[in-house]
Amino acid sequence: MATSTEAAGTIGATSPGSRKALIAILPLAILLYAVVPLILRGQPYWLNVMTNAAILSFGSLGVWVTFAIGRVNIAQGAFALLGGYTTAILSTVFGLSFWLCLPLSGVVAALVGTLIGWPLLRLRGIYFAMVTLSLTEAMRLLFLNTVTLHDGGGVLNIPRPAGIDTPLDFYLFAATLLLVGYLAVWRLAGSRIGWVFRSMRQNEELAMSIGINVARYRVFAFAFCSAMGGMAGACFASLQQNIYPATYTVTDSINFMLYCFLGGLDFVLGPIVGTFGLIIAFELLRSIQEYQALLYGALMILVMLFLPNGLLSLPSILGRFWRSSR
Amino acid sequence: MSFLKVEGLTKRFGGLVAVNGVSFDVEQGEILSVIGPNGAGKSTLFKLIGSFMTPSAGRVLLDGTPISGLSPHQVARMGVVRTFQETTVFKEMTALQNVIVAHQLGHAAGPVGAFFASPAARADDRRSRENAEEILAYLGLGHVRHELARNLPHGYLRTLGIAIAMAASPRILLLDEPFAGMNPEETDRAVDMVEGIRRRGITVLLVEHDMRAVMQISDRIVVISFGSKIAEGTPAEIRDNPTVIEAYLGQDDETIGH
Repeated sequence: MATSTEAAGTIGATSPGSRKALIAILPLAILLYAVVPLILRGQPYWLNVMTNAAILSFGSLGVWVTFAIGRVNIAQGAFALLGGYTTAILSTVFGLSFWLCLPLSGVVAALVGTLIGWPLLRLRGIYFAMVTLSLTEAMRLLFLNTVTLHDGGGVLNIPRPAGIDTPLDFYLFAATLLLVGYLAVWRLAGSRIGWVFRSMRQNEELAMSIGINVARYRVFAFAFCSAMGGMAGACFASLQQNIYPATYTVTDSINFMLYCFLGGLDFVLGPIVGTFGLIIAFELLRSIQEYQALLYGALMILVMLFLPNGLLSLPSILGRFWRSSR
Repeated sequence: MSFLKVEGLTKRFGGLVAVNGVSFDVEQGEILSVIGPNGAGKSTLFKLIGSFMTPSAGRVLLDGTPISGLSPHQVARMGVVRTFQETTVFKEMTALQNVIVAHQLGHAAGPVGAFFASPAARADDRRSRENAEEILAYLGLGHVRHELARNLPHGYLRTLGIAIAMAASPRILLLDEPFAGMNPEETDRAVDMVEGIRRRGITVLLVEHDMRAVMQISDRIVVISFGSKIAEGTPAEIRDNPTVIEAYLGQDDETIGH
């Protein structure tokens, strides 16, 4: 793995203050709050795409946290589904406001993540990845067989969040959620906790030997990730106003993971860049229908071949190239 | 009451008894070495004391408190810290980051404080950094502190491993073959380092193969063979012990320091 530029400086230097936080978030905030709305103002379809990308980015940020402890997590679809159903049922059956459902979906997902994560996180590598993958399918089957509000386990007519009426409103809400999520993960990664995560990723036994409660930090990271997945699912259910067991499948879980890869695992910004990059690429390729999947796949392979550390490693590679060619 | 007490420690793997009823005491401030021929059960004993393995019978007590069965991180927090053989470090961190991250005790700020970078958390970070710089300088790694660990020469990595353990504020440091694979010159330097660690008030228990270094450095030596303790005493006593010579029979006389 390349040097973690994002992380390298911070430990032991004075912890990042509010000024550093502002620098970290300002470019993203300008992009999300000013550039995107300005360009896409009159285009509800594209605003919807961006809203979806922001929500998915939020979920990917969670997966990035499990990558940070050295686990390949292919369960995020399961927790998005869980959060989506939590919001769907609480809002349609119990009439709860979305603004209550959203945090509750996060809490439910975190609790389930804790229960499932405690035993599962002993596994490493491909074994953990495989089990989390099957978790996504298990969650789909669970809702398919237990939710009887509508044929096929779906929940329809989920109300929109109170106070959010237009696609632009929803987009701005999703952008805000994403910024908050980004700031939270950025802070987490830069704090002592983030360094504990890094130490666990590099060598769990050594981490234990210096007094780190590896089991507890692992579960915390997974629960944190699950909570983000749950909240992403809650937003999506409310955006679509419906949810089905097939709303999040194994493919979506894999995509959450791919977004992180594509953006770059060394960067907190990675999952966001990866998600927006892939979602926009997918939409642009829509016009050539039959070749969409083919081109999409080829693009992915190219990126992985030439930028194994993700899109965000491009600047440092170009910088090196520029220096060496002089 | 002895500082660290090993009481009838036994570990069975199926029918094989790797460690068989080993007992000895470690006094505060001493350097005690456990030696034995290959396959004598040294490594297993080492893992049992560091709680990286649970004994089949017997126990380990620190200041009279049983520590066997606790998880490694709990034992580490009580002051029993181990190093690893070879070069177990956090490879993708700089030497300094390796040692900073090993400061897990005595933080004023909790996780929430750390998340919000509270003044207490910043003070923690500053203290960890200063302490890490001091440890690295003390062990002679000050000049490479900003190098990524994976780029460090092999010889430095073992020292870095010890620096990491030191950062965890051990009361007793368990060193797993600290002199393995070193040439005589490197060994001499490592011996000085271990004595330096003891001068800082840290008790040292080491498991080792290199007889010359062990004889030079140890206050007392425990010899195990086929999982059982066969001798215990000062280097001079061990050197002349017929049972020990017997156990090492077939090996060069020189290996037991004659």
